[in-house]
Amino acid sequence: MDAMAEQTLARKVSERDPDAMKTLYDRYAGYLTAVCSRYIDSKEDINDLMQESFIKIFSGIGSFVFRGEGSLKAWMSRIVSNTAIRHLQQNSRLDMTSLDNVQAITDEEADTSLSELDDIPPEVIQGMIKSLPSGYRAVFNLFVFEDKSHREIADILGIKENSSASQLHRAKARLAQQIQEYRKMTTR
Amino acid sequence: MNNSWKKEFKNKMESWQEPVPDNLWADICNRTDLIPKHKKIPRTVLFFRTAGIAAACIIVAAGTMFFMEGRFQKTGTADTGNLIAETDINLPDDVVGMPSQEISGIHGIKEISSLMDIDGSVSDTRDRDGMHRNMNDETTRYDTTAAFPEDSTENDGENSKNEAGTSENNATDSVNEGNGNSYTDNPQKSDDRRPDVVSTPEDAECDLTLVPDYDALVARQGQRLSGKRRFSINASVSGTPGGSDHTTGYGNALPANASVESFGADPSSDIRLFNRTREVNTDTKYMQPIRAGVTFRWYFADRWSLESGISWSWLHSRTTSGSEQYYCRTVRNLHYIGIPVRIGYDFWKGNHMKAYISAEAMAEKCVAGSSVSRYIYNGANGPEKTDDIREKQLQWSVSAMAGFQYDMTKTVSLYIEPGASWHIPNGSGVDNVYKARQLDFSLGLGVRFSF
Repeated sequence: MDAMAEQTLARKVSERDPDAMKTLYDRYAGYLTAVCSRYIDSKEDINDLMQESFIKIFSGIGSFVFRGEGSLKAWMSRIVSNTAIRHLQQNSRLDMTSLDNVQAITDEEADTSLSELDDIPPEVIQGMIKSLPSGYRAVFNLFVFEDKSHREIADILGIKENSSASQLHRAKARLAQQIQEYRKMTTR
Repeated sequence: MNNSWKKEFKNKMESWQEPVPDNLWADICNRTDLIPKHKKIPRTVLFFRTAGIAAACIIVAAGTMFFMEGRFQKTGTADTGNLIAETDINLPDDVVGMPSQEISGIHGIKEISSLMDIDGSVSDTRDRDGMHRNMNDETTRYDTTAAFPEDSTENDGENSKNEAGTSENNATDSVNEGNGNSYTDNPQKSDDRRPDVVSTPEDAECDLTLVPDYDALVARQGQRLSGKRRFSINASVSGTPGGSDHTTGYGNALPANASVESFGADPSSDIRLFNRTREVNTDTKYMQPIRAGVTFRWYFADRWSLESGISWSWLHSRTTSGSEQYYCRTVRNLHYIGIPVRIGYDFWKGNHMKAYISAEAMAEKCVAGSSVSRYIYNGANGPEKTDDIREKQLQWSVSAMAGFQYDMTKTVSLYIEPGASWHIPNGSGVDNVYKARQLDFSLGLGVRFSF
């Protein structure tokens, strides 16, 4: 069952096969928890939102259209991120306050820092992302992981398009700064 | 803008996982009934499993009755098989050639002997029609020494007498029931040796000696009694195969009057509006219908019977109608009460079995029905709607079936009836398996109580 292809797994889940449902959960719950926790800080909220997301997945999998290996994972990831963003919107928890102590850095410098990540473990990167204020984090996640444009991000979060771009720039600058600091710490 | 960093960043985090919250799976299971607690058992398997359990219960019950009945008969009847086998009797003409089963039995032999003198002569007697016959005639002379060897009459002592007494009492009862003659056994017979018994003409007149095929008579009486079981009550369950149906469009699944003005007022209309530019299909899965009933059968001729009663049928179906993004899932349950009228003909009868064919006409009325529709909007659960289903038209059907019946006891029988039915279209708009599969095959299992 564990080696089951995504398409077969999705079909069996849509047929309410309990073994397939548990397999899907076991296979993707860790990844989806990581997706959810990129947006949400509270463990309790993460638990609630993960429950809600899996219920949506199980009840809505009939509408999933298989478009190749990885499409099921991407579809579930979108459900989780949408659930998390809706939660942030409903609870007005998008912290858009300006970041302090962010170095003046150009976009090019930030892009360079963020594209050379071979020596940075993913859990460190995840920690850096989670350290961003929720508003900046949401913009960054939507832009990077959900491939949203600034216009779309502005519509989703209810902010101006320019704000989305500037917050992304600040988030990138902050992450680049943290990466540099991490490298300094690890190369001493 | 160069977004290569974005791709690098994304790939770096692609396989990253975090610890799942404690008890998340249990919480999900508790919050929804989407996850079945057990694996779904196919409806066909469930039906045959239920039928099997029911059949096993019936077999156990019938077997118990059969066993109890057998024990009762055993304790009340003397075993005489060996006795007749070892005797050498000059039988009367009307007994010669009769199967041994018919002339065997303690009743006949004892009563024959009871009328004979010690030397084997019988002075006077009459046949069963009351005609006097000279028993000194050579053809009617009986060898009492063969019928009652010294061993059995003297050495067995009381046992032999008791057996004889028991048998005679049985014979008395049977004859009184059978032909109405008042045969009274002489109490001296059970106490004295048989050679000392002298029959009176009155005894001879109604004596079983004159009914040498007594057991055959009893057997025939039994057959007549069982043949009088003209009525039976039948309890049965039957199932027919389910089916599935696929059509392009909505079919009868969603109302056709969708308009912009009605947007938001009715989920069915909303689905139609959302799907205006999408491909729409309707898939229906008809589950195996289940029927149970009680009928009454009357044999109006030797092999011909009429049967009628009442039946209940449960039809269950699931329909999905719409596009891949916007659709409606409907679960429909229909309950029918029907009155069947059936004529049957038994074309073969065995010892405990018989086979028959039947033709049936049935009118069914939908007495209860409901549909529960869940509307799905772009993969998310939308509103749920429950409707009652009413069908004014009667559903007529004609069937032909062949049946095989096994008699567990005189009163309890099991039967199996494969058959074919044709459901006559009634013009109703209610979708059900009768319309999807007008010609259908069924398998009925039941128990029949005859009286």
